[in-house]
Amino acid sequence: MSTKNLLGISLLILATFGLLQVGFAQTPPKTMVVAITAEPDPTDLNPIRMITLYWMAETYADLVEWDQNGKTEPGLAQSWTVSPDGLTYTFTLKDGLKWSDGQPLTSDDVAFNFKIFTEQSTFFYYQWASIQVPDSNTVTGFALKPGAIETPDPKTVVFHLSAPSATFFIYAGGWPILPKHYYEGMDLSKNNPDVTTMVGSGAFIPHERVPGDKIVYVANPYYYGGKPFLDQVIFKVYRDPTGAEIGLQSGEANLMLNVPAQDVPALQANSNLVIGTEQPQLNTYIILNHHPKLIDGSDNPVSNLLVRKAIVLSLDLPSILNASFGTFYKDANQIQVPNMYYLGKAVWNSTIPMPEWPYDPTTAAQLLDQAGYPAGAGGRRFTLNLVIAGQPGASIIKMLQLIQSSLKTVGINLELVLMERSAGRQRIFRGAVPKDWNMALGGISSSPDPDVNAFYMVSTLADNGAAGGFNAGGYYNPLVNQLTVLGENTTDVDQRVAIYQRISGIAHEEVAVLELYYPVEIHAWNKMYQGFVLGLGNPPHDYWGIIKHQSLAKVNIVEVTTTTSTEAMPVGPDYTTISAVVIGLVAIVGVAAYMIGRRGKKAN
Amino acid sequence: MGFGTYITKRLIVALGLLFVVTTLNFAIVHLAPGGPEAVLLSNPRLTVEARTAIIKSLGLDKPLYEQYIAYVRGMLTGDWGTSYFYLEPAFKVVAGRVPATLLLMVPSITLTILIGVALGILAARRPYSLLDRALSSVAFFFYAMPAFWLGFLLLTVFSLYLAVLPASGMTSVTGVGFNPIDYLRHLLLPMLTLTLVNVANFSLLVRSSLIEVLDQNYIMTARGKGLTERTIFYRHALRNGLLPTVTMIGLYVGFILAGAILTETVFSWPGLGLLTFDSIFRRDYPIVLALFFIFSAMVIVANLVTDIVYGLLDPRISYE
Amino acid sequence: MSKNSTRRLQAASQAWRRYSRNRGALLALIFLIVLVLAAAFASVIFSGDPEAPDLSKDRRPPSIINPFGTDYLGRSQLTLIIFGARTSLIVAFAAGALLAVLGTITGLLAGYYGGKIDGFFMRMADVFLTIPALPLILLVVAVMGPSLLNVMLIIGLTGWPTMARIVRSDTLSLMKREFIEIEKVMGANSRRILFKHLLPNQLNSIFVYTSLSLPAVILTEAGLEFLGLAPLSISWGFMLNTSISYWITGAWWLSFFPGLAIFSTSLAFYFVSEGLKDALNPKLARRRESLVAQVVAEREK
Repeated sequence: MSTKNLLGISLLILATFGLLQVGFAQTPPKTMVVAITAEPDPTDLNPIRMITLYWMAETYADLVEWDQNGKTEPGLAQSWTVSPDGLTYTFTLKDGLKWSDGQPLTSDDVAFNFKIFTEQSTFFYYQWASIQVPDSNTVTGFALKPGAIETPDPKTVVFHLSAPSATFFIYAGGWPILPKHYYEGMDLSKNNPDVTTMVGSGAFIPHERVPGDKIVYVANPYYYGGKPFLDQVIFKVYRDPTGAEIGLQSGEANLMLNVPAQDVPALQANSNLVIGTEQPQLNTYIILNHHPKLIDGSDNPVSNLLVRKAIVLSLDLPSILNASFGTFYKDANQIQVPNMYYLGKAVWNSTIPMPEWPYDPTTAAQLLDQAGYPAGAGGRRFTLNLVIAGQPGASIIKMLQLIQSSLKTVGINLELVLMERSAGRQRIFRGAVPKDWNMALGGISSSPDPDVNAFYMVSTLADNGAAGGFNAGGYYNPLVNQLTVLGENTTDVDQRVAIYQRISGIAHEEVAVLELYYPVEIHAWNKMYQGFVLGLGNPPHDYWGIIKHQSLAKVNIVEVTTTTSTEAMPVGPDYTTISAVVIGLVAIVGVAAYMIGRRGKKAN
Repeated sequence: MGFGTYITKRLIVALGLLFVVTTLNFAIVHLAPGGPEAVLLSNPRLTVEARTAIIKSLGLDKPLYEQYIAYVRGMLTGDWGTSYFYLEPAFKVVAGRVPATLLLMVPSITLTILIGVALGILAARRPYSLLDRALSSVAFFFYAMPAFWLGFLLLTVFSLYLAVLPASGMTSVTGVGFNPIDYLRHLLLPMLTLTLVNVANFSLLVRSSLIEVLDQNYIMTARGKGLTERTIFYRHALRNGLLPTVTMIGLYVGFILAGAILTETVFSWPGLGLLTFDSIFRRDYPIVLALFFIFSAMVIVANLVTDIVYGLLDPRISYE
Repeated sequence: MSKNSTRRLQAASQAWRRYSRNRGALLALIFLIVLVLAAAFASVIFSGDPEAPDLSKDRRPPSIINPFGTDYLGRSQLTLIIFGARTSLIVAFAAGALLAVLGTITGLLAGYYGGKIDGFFMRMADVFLTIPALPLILLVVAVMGPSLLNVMLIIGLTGWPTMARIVRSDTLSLMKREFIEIEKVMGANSRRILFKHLLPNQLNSIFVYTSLSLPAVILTEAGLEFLGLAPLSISWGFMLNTSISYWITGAWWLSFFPGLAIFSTSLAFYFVSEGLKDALNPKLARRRESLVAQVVAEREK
């Protein structure tokens, strides 16, 4: 190569390096970038489809809001009353409410809202509630007939129920109210709303969406809590937590949701970041198959109560969970989550031991012998499989592998079957009964009402065949079914709570499911962003309470001294290791070069 | 038989191939045990009515042959169905992602060809010399390297440890307007990953093709005639040696497409590869079918083009 | 008969001499043999259960005791990699064998019978070549479920066209040779011609091409495991998959060593096959074997 060429090339390289140094596109002032790792790309911003509700938490306010202590506070409704007979609910809206395009928010919108959700309820998230009542367009005791909703004046909405309902207030109050003038006439089952013209009542309204990449939300000047400090909130989708963490580190993102537990120490080492946690109403557990035989006719040991007891006794869950999640989890011992309330009273059953079961592998082995599964050659008794749908995080995999090895010590061989999401869900929830699996990893969002977990996890009231409740394992106890129905129809607080505590107790005694843990959500953000409110959102947006509109509206940016962030985080291998690796690689290449040379000379 | 007939014949074969491919795609995809029901209706809280309604609205209750006819007709008229997941026309969704993948693929193919040929020439020029051996061993190195590992190594070195390049995506989140530098910074690592592996492969191919040509009798004749090595190489060997590699380029489109899937996954590059990955897992039939069609079409077209170019270049070919 | 076997022995030892002159191929072969032996006798060499967790050793960097470090369950990565070699090697060899068998049979039949059969097989090969392999593999494995068998099958099924083409064109050129004509005139039946003459003469190149395809097979299989489309047993690709989540914690060795294993094995197969190519095919036959020449010949048909 001539010197001229060399010079040219070197200049080019230098220029490229120079360009690279041109700083990262700085975040414009008053913008916050939120890093999300969503397994499916948030498909659309269609309020009819369940998946999108998390994304709508910023956009739509509800009649009633819940604060981080589970106490109700005014949302769009300033006040509300219930008639003594429980059949009439009256909500009075705040003064001067406006949508983000300036149109007034009135009782007409509320009435329209219920209409659209019940009419296009085919897809709707809350359709489940109607299963319990014969009419198909009802929300526990509320049927949409003429006269059911009255709007005597723009600020008042009156609901007339046919029967007292334990859950109506929670649903009606927690319902995201959609704008009538925007959605009227739209068939949401066929079309998605146009993001660029969206109208909402929350603090930030989406205005731009790049599929698979980001959604841009713009501040709503008419937000009832006052105009937010930030101008823009951008949700950026990362494929995996590592990418999101790199983004957070480099300043590309300012808030990261759902940080995996094992990465927390590394993030904590960075003094520019703040870590916060939320306790959403989630219950992670293992679904147990209670049918005596599998679909191929083979025996299902898990259907035997002694075997189930043996399984739970052979697991030292507190240690396993601690090893997998650090401190970011809560031991689970019952089907209800710790922060589940009914009208302010907790449904938690404190008589159930914590941890739920002692660690006693000796008794476990005895129980297995008793159940008729003696240890054979090599200590093996039988094989079970556990199906997981979708890609769980590293911590969950670790936990499952630890469970696997614990079971091995009592002679149970556990196969972990990781399936991609849709085929996995098909196999777990919708495959023919009986199933072809012994156990499956399950998780349920328990909000907004204790009825959810009881109904889905341990009753057989949901349509298990087609719609498929979470009770895919077919646990059946007629008493539990009766209690569940009773719970739906009881309005007295103490009675109702007692019912659910009883259900939890029965589920515990019979090991209906294998309780694992209540997840703790970890979020991390740049310390310049302050004002987040953690733990918001009883129904219906219990995930990501931190990005509910009441929280985001309060976020502001404060100038703080930042330490140079190129230090810290993953230190990477030290210099000696790096040099060793590099030298090793160069050696390989060199030796290879030498080898090839030999061959050439001797070619015949 | 003239050149025109040659092209026409090739064109007919290509179209036929396309048809067979699409039928095969349809068959395979519909044999999936998960089925589209598993995707949209995976929420266990949906009722029976809800499921039936969805199935109806998406035409999944019709018999298979009706679906097939509708599919073929749709493909021809540009109606590739509505994505189950995005609720938008599949064509629109796929078309929306094409620019991103092209942005990754086109520079990559170009660089692969340019650098691959250059390196191949350099190596073949003095076979088994130090330069050749060094280049070859580096080529082996990248040839055996799993693309996703390489991508991840680069990602961690440059994004994580050195923090000079962005970790993912195509543009900065808050970029305003069209900023070419920004695009370039995001493009660098994915393109590097994609190109390195293919350059290695391609250059080895060029090299071996050239070396083979150099063994031919007519080269020896040329040497006997007293021509300089340089002339022999550049005037005779090169032209004949490069011909077969033209054919290879068609095949390379296929390889680079495959590489793009893995690379886009590692770098979260919002292109067709990522869409493939996601849509397969989601059983989004219309998108999956559309994507297979596009990929096959790209490979078929690339082969067709190289056939034609080859036909033009090689005087030995008789157009049958 | 003994003359035949002595001749074969001679040819074999000549080939071996040629092969061992190539130091790189020799080294690679030794590496592979050691790997295969270690994998086969892994349970003897490493006592205890390789999968048993030991949380006290969570993610220790490489050291004297654990040359490859420990993973997130405290298990020695060296042990895991040796055990994981079983999966990779078995899949590689099985897929390679399937590919070879399919390709050889179709190539032989197509070349020998010609006509419609030839047309049919070659069109099928064309179709399989045109459908981009990776999306097809992704789809099929996602559809049929994550079992090693499926992985082996689908990799074998997507790799046969190239082999078929090569065998076919070799068959065609062999068919033109005199001894085939003689056999035909003598009334030998097809099976005899196919199996006694056509096939044995191509064994070398079939062998070479199968081994040439192995690096790609290893990489594809690792890719599938990496994407989560293979069973959750100990395998290199799966180790890579789980290691990504731990990058940010600084545990670089979790992904470095499995990646290195994949890479070295793939490279070793490559060197070995290159060596075989030169050893088994003296200079005269080299033109025939080159893939590039195959393609050119294809066009000239």
